[in-house]
Amino acid sequence: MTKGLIFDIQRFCVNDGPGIRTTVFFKGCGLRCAWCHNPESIASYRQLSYDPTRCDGCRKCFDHVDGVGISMVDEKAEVDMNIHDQNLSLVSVCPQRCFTILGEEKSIDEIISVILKDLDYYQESGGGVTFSGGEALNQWSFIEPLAKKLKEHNLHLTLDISGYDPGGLLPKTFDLMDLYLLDIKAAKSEVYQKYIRQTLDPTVMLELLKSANKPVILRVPLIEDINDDSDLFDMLAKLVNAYDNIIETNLLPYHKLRKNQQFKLLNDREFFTVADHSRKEQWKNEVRLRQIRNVTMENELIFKKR
Amino acid sequence: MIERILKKNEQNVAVAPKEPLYKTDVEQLEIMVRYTETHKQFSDAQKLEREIACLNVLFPHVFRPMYEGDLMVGRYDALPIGFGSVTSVGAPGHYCRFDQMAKMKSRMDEKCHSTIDELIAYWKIHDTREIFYKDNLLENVLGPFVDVRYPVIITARFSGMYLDYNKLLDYGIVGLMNLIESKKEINPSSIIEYKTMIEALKLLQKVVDHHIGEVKTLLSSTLLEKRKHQLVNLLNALTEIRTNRPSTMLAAMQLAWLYSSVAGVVNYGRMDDYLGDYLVNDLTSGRLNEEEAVELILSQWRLIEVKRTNVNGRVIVGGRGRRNEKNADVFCKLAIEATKRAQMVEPQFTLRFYDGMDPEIFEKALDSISTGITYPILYNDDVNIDAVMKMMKVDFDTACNYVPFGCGEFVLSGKGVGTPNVCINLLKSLTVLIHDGVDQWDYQYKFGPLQLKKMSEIKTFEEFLNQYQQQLSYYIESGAQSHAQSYKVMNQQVGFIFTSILTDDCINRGKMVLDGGVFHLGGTNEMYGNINAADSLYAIKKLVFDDKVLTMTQLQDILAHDFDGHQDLRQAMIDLPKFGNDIDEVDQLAVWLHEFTCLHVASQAEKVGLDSWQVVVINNQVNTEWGRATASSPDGRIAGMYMSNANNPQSGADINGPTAMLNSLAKIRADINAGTVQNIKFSRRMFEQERVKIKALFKTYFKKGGPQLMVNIVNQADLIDAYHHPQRHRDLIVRVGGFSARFVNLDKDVQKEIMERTCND
Repeated sequence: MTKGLIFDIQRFCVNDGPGIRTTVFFKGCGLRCAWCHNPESIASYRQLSYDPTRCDGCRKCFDHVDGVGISMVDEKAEVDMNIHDQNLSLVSVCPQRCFTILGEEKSIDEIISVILKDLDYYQESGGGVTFSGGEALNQWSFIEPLAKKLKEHNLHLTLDISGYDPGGLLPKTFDLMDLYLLDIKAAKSEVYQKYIRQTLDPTVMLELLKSANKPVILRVPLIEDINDDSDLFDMLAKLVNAYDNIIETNLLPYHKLRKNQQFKLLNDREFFTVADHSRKEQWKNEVRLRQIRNVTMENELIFKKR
Repeated sequence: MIERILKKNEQNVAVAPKEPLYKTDVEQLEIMVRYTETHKQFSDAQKLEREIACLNVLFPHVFRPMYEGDLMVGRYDALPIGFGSVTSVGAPGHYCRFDQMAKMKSRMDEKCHSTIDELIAYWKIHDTREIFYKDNLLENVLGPFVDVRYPVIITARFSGMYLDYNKLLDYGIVGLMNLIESKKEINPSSIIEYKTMIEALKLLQKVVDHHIGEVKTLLSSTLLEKRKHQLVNLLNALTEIRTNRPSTMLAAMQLAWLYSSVAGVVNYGRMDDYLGDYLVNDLTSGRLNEEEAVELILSQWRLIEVKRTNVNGRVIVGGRGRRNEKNADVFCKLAIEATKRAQMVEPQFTLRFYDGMDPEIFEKALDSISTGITYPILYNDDVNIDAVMKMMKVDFDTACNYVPFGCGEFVLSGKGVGTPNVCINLLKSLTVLIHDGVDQWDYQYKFGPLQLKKMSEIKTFEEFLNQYQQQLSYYIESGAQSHAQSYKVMNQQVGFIFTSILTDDCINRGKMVLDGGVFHLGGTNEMYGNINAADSLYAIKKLVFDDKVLTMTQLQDILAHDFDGHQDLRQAMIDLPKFGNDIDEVDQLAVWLHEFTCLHVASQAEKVGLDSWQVVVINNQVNTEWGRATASSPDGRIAGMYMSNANNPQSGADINGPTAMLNSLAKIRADINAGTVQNIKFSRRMFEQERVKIKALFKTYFKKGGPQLMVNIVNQADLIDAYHHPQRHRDLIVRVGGFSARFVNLDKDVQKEIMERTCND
């Protein structure tokens, strides 16, 4: 693969592994987690996005599509993103720049030139590069030569994975990756069925990583009353005990998306309750109760001892 | 033509209101009449005698009594007429603040009006700046400070003098008198200079006596034991410094402070260098414990703060070249502690650091910054010392004594002049160029005698840049002439005797500071609108010459109408890459503009008889005020909108994160100017949770050649709330540019500029 499908390259990432990092977000994911924080990353193709707040009602887009999938309501365009998901021609039609394209095809050199701009910062902070998504594993054939080139600069590399790897690609990454971020989405199978529509067993990945002697940081999105049951904390305790290559566990409280963009696969996202302070305290107590080591939430270390 | 309404600017950069004067209007008027009568008795040829006589009218009368809780004395008021150095406390030389006189007149009984009118009439002719302005303004090109209608503004002021406090403390008052006396034989032609220097020191003794009397009176009343103890210490210190050199930190601090007060100096030097030994001596002998030392420093901070200079009040600590680094570091740490506790906008507490300095100091500095106080401001010696050596042509040891004053101009402490008497608005200049010399703000022609090509004839971007260079060269060269002239005018009027005594090499040469006495006669030129100009140049390059979306004539038309009917093009201009995102093609234009202006400015020094004349990019809030009178620009900025602060990206234009922003900043050469300032804003959450990574971020930036950093720690929500409900956020402090301020005291558009700066969260 000569080009990768990227939806963002973010510099100065401080939450995707050690030190100051640049995170490359790959587009395309096999899962459909209802709480996905990066829904722009789900579709594995370049897609249209629409920002209605910029619309001044000029109707140019409406005329362009002869009213198919776009209607004018209160002097603003309403766009059916299921119809226009891939109608990228709308971008140049709108003078207000309401339409943008999610996803960009980039070559290895293009990506490297951005990454290397912050080389000094990685070196000073012990940072590096993280490949995230979407599901970065899906584009491994592109990442592999990219990662090899980055290794020439001695960069620390991290792979962020969902745990869903039907192609069995994970072992191919072991030569190049220094650290893995692995999602833990739920403990109960009914949560998987209802909100993810796949069943995952994290121990499959953890076994592989352990045998390859690779450190892992578990990342656990916590959604109030959806996946924050005691089974989840029991499972975390069990995993952390069983796998000493788990160096840290990050609890990630759910927060709502607040972007103006509209695009396909966004509109059917569900909104969940944002946990308040007392709920977060409850989560911390669950961790302390089970003495799960090295768990952090919002950068606070909850329980350190092994 | 579009009708423009300009919000009136104050004569000076003023943000925080000052305390009302202690003396009544009648008492003030009486002093000012005597001052004026005294002034009248002398001719310009007797400027030194006149200065001493006038200072004797002011001091010690303008000192106000000490406040309960003060551990040292020396609060004084600058009257509307008097003697000073800087525009933020009184004004330079013999001055009259006409704005304050008008207010006074409106407050006072009618029978005083004719007296006030007579004073105003006299000073309209004799005020130092009025004398300067009379012959040096240039219609539509050079305007008075701060008249934002002009592309270039000039002034006569004597800002940023740092005294040689080590000399003062090493010699003491009588020691200095003896030193001066000893020079009389060597320089017999300087007899008047030496005589007035000694008279000045006698006046200082009179000031000390005045305060001794005040403290004695207080001690005769009933006092709590603790207060009595404090006042006895103070009395001993004052009695000591009247003649001898000081032996305690309190005495040293007191002498330095009273001297600064009578000299009208408002930046206080490398305090850890001149007080460190005294402090350590006090600590080891048990005269002070650390807590008491912090209290004493806090008392000093309060006296600095009450002057409310807004853009001065610098205290420098840290850095290379201090006499006794170990002792200085002890002071440095306690001073950081005091600053953190004080949570005041002055002193502008400044830390110089270098690779190898005690790392605990940098940690403490970050602790202080994390409270939101914005201090210390960080200066990187490993970059700045080299720049000073190169630009001022001095050796390493001399360059180690660089100190940023005011908003951040470098000057040699105790041996240099570097006042910024010229300011140029690069963006306004560019808009004037785009419209063939006519400023679309007020429709005046601002090329002066300059002949440039019509924009419609320009064929290439290089040709366009060449015209811009010619225009800026004309503005720069005119500014240089007037800057040199400002020194001549001030030198005809005054000697700045107190400042001269503690400025190398005045005593040895027997000359006053501007009369050939100073070791390094430099000056600085403040540049504004740099980044908007660079972004605009990029937009012109891209839209007119590369992509040919527009012709120059169309661009003129669109800008002349403030984008009316062309919102799509305005959006296209806004969407173009901007400086601050580590995008080379646009950053390089900022680099080019900076290099051209710095080198051309520097090349003027010799021509106008200065040792150096250097660019500083150290904006205060004038970037916003000057933006109010700057027409629409090709970066998509609409007429009247604020301009970016100093070298920083236009607020909110940096969208690639802090590494990209700092990389862009680091591309701009720091070795060809006398200071630039860089703001970075973090949320409190980010700064607290990611301290280690942010430290690595700063460290890398400094290694890459970053000269300076000012760190704002704020909650963005607090800023927004304070904008709408100022009464809820009286204490919120922000770094504007070259100064910090309580957010709620700033003008709304200045607040907006700060709010919209990218907050790293």
